[in-house]
This record gives sequence, structure tokens and C-alpha cells, in this order.
Amino acid sequence: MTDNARGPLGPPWSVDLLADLHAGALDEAESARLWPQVNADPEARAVLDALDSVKVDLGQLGQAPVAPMPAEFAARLDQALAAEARAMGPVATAPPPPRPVAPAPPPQAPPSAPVVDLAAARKRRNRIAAWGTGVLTAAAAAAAIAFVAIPDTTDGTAAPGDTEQTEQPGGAADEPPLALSRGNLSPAIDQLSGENDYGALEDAAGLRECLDSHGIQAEGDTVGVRPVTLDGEEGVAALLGAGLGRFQLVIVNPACDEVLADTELP
Amino acid sequence: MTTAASSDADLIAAHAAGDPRAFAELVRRHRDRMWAVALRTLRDPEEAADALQEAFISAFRAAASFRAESQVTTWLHRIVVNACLDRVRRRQSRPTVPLPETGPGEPATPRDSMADRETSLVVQNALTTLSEDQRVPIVLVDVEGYSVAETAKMLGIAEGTVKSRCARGRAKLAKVLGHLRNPDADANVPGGAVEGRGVPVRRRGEGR
Repeated sequence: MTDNARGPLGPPWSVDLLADLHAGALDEAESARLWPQVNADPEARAVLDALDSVKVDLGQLGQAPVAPMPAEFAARLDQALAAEARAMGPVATAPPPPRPVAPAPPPQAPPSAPVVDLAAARKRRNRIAAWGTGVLTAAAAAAAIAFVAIPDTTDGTAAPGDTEQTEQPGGAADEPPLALSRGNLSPAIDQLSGENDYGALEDAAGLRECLDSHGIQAEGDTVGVRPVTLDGEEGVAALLGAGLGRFQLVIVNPACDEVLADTELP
Repeated sequence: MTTAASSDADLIAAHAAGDPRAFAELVRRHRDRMWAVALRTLRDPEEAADALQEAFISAFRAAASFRAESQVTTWLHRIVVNACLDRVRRRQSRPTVPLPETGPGEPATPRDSMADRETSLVVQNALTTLSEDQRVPIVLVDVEGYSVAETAKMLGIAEGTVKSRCARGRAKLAKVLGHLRNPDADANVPGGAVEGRGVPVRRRGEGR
């Protein structure tokens, strides 16, 4: 006896037939007829055993340690969420209209959550970076040192040279960390300038103590400080003046026992 | 509240109450696991990253409607899977663009050196040999642990179709992974073509 689609219904066995039997894809009558034959045949049972091994392998894959999300994508995700947080303002103080949680969308349904156009976002970031660099160049004649806290994204209204910063209610301290990427730190100049959120470092003295503990000697004033994520890793970023037209960007982890980045930005 | 020490449910509640850091902590905790889910489902890292972004933004917006009767991870996982499946459907509606044979970030490992690789990487590579029609249900059922019924509902296909696609996919994986001694055999299994002698008597099929 044979099944045209799957092959013979008996030795030599079709792998497809046995796989269907194994998956419960056969109708009850056929399945009931085949099981006794399969159980009586070591060759067929070995195939089923192989299929079981596949299921075990796949199940273990789901439990296996995972590789971290690549830094580039992690930073992009952080930036998108930061943009979302800014767009929404204070987060969901009033519950949104009730809706099913994560329903399975119908076939061909549009995505339930619009995705930031990544290409546009990249272009926008590049424009901001270019703009920020221009601002910095102009400000360099007046500002000697800037210290930038990285954890927040501003709207680009940087105030370089304004080192008499005070905490503003509803300001950076209420915003999520600014997402930065090691591959593109230039926007930090714009995004950190004028920020005054010391995050885990608490205040200017905490920042100074932190920098001293790592032997980092700032040549000039602190331009901005803010909590950030650097490629997904939490930290506090400080933008420091580093001479005419130059800035030093230092990012430490919240406990200040590790310097995540220490670089000069033009 | 110290976000790092909070439970996932606490973080969701804090986010809904306006804590700007709570959701970032939630993302930090689950991002890598969800990344793995997205990558397994979509294969293409750019698409996986977009899907994950879409999913987390969706979760960000829907957090206030989260109900504590389900686990945050289960809720989040489902949102990520749905975002991935949306992309699978859109991809299937477009002209076919073949993906590379190897998975993202995975070296094109010669078969004979795979024994030295982590099992998960080997299995991950094997999954890339399947067609999308087979790979997606297998990932959902065998890797992510959804039932056949749940998978059928998510994919918008019949349960029997899920079972048969999983069956074909497992049969191919059994060959690719070397569980069948004669991997070149296309369909029939002649005597001596399989490994695993002396296996116990089988139960009935899974059919869940």
C-alpha cells in the first residue's frame, strides 16, 4: 500500500509519512492503523527517534544563552524609544483606551506599532550631528571646556557655554537616558550641551570625584552632563571643554567604577 | 523605586505611572532574548531590528493596558512574535528576495567543522536551510513553545497545515542535523539508514 504524496505505508518507510505521523498530521484512522506497524519496526522507530531529537534540539535552542543584540541595533532601539518617550511627553499618566494586549494581527494587517523610519532617523541624526558640530565650532571661541552627560536627547537647542545650569523641573531628569553609540558620538555635543542631570553621580562634586578617581583631568568647564546609554549600556556622560574648539566626552557607568568612553570630539 | 531591583510587573506599573526610566530597564532586561526570537523568526538582522523596535514601541504604548494575570515576558514575547509575523506576511506579499543561506552573524561553517560549534549555533544554522513556510511554524512550536492551535491562529492557517509544515521541516532538519544517518535519502528510509537503534516503543503522535 502506498500514499502517493508520502510514499509507502510500510517498510521501507517514507520519512515524510513518519514525520506526519509523528506530528499528528495524519487522520485518526490512518494514524491508528500505522502506529502498531511503526512500533513493531525498529527502522521506523529510529526515524521517529531522530525526529524527537530534532524537537529536543529546537527546544534547547529556545533555552540556550543568547548572543547580545549588536550594539548598532541596540543603540538604534534606544534612540527610537527615547524619541517615542519625547513624543509622548509624560508617560501614560492616563491609561489609553482599553484594547486587547498584543492580539494576533489578521493576515496582511498593518503593523500594530509604526516603526520609526530608520533611514530617515539616520539622516536626521546626521543633520543634527552636522548642525551640532557647527554650533560647537562657533562656541569654541568662548567655551573652553564642556562636560556632557549623555543620558538624554535634547531637541537641539543647545546652549554651549552656559555652565551655570540648574535642574529644571520636568527637564532632563524626567527623561529617559540619551542613547549614544560608539560608532557615532558626534551628536553628543549637541545633545549634551546645556544639560545638567548628573544622574547617579548626583551633582558636580560627584562628577568631579568620579573623574578624579579615574585620573581624568578636565581642562575646562563642564558643558553638559546627562544619563545616557552607550550602545545599550547605562552610564553618565559628561561633555568637558578641552581647549579651543574641542571637547572631551567622558562616559562612566552609574557606579563610576568603569570608564565606558573617554574621547575627544572636534 | 530602584528600577534595577524591581520586578518586571513593577516596571510596567512604574512606566504607566510616568517613571521615565522604568521601560528602559525593562528593555535592557529582555532585549537580547527578544532579539534572538526576532532573529530566529526573520533571519535578516535589519528586519529583526526593525521588528524589535516596532514591538518595543508597541509595548511602550500599550503598557498601561497590561494586565498582571500574564507574565510580562509572555506578553512581551507575544508582541515581538506578532511584529515579526507582520513582517513575514509583508515579505511574502512582495517579490521574493532570497536571503543568504547562512543566518545573520553566523559564519558559513563547513558541515565537517560543525561538531566543534555550540549546538545552538548548529541548530540555528540548520533552521536557515528551511523554507520560510516551514521555518516559521517550527520556530513558533518547537523553539518558542507555542501550541499548534496558537501557532495556527497567529499564522492564520489551519492546525493541520501547521502540523504538516512542522513535520516536513523536522524531517529535513533530522537530515541536516545528522540524526538520520542517510541525509541524502530524499524520502524513503531503507534498512540501516537511520541512527538510534533499540529505541523505546513509541507513543502516539503529538497532535497538540
